[in-house]
Amino acid sequence: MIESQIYSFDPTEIDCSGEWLLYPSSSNGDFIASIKTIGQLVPVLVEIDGDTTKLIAGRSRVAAAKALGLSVKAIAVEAGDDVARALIHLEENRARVADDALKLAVFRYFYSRMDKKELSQRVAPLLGIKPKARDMKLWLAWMELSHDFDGVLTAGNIPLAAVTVLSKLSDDDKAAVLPYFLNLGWSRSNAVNFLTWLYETSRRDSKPVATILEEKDLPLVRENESPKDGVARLCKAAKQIRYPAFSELLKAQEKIVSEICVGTKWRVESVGNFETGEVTVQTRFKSREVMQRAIEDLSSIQKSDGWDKLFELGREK
Amino acid sequence: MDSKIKVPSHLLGIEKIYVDRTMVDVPLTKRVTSRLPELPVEVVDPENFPHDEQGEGQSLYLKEYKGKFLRFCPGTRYYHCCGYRIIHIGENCPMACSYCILQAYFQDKVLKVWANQGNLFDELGQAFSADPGARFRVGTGEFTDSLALEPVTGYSRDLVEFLQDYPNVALELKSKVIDLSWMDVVKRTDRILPAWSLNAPFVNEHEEFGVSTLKERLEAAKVCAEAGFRVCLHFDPIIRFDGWREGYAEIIDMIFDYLKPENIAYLSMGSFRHMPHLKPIIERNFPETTYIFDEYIIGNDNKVRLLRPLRMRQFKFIVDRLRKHGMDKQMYFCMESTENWQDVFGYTPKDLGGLGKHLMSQAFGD
Repeated sequence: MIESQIYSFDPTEIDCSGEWLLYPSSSNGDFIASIKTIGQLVPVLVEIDGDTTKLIAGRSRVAAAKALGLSVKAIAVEAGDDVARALIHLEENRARVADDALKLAVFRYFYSRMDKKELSQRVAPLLGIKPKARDMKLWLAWMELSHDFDGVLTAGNIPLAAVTVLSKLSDDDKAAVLPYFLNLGWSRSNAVNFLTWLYETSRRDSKPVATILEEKDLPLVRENESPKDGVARLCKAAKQIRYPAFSELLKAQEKIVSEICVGTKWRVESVGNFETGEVTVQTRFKSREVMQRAIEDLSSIQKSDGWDKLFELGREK
Repeated sequence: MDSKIKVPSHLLGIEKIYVDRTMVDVPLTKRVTSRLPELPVEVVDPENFPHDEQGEGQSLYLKEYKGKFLRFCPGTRYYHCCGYRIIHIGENCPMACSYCILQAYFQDKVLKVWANQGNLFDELGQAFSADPGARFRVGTGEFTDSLALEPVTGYSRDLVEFLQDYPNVALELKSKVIDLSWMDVVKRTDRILPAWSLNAPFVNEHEEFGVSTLKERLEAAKVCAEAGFRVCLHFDPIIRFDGWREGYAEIIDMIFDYLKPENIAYLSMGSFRHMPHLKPIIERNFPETTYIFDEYIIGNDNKVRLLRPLRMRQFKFIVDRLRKHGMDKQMYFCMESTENWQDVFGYTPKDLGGLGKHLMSQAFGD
């Protein structure tokens, strides 16, 4: 399959347009300078097919040689078809770090050319993914999606894990949520939570996600809002939609606590999701003076009527 | 008795019988294989049970069980447990209810029956005779349905016969199917408690598959009541859905078309609660199910349960309706806090002398 002979080609003789060249070229000034100073240490891989010489791996070395007017050292391989060419290409690039954009390109390339089992067993390990790893299941699920979300995954705006929810959404619902990921970068937990809350509300209320988004008014952006604040706002809104009664309890708790603790550094929180009416009270101090003040404040706020309301939150007498 | 039977619809999915090599000659194996003569039988060694060969069909596994047969019901300190004791006769269920915890416990479709009944009766005999003054309220419906496999195993009938010698034991047979074949061996109707799970008709129709109708269950309960038994009823899990008030009102009213309050030894109510990992299992097994998307929180026992005010509203509605029909101290909550008892019933388990003790009295008809 691989010859031991090393060939020398003019870079213009090598066809670098193969679809199987999945890793992006990493050619840059430093690399070109290295080739110029030290020379080409490792031959590129080519397939010689009659008069054509197809590049299998080593695009940066070819580009650097071309820029420097040098010839390219190459080893010939016999791949035979595009799948084999791409597999050799991946093998040769194994030491490089594969990000989600690269993995997506690789899986999309192979998905139409081999079955899922082969994809898991032959391709995934070349990207550092174990065939039975959770990530591999996510990639296989992503392959079932249309290409609409590929752009936002490549851009790093949506995590791969979001596919667990995306795959449950109808095409219309997917189209309704896509704009939220076009210009905002979401963390894994925020994206999965946001989509899950919308999906589950949709199932609970028997309404399309698009209808919920229209009814509840979740604007994509607000004036002078940072992307981070935008994501936080959307997550909070989606959670309130998903858990309306719980959100009301939290709101009531917040109001009561602010009345109780006004002017002090004490913090009061309900514990156990309103199951028991129990609360925790806490503050911080690092001197006797501040501690004394806190004790006096506690003595003062304990007289508030708000405590009785707080202890009763969640009860239905 | 021990010859071929007409297999009820909920058991038609059983395709094969597996028998532990050590259980080939025990009476239960002979009974089951004679009642299901068409089914292939494979003798297995437990360590080599062919888990990989299990497909979509169900199988019956007559197994030598080596663990404890008499167990405590797993309660937690935050919520009041009824304190009932479990007689472990097997695992898994042939029916399919979307909310069933057994889906999380057992990933396969193997219906296990402990065929070493001799060991079971030895252990029970020792426990129940150690102190004849000690009373036991026991049931078999924790890891399986008490009566689902009865047509082929006759297990409950054997148990009923065995317990005739132990008047200090009240046995509850909890089910969602109708099988009264054990009735003719009962000597003391006051020590056997036939029990059925009930729910709103919507839940029965949309979330319970392969089970009997609510009408059939109540008709069976009536037959038992007329034969001198007191029955137990269980509203568990109570679920919220559009029209839940009308739905639960309908089934509550329906109960009293068939039974009088004095026919009911006790009636439990439990809101839908589950270990967190059950939700994706339900979603996968029952893709049409939507109640799992209601407002649940993690409770003090680390199980998922409905937000307190939402489930309290349901409890209050149901209890009020039951009270109008004359129900009183037979009603109890499965796994609720003292505060919730107080808010709904107006008293707490402590006021009843403790829930376990109270239900023991109810079970024995004190």
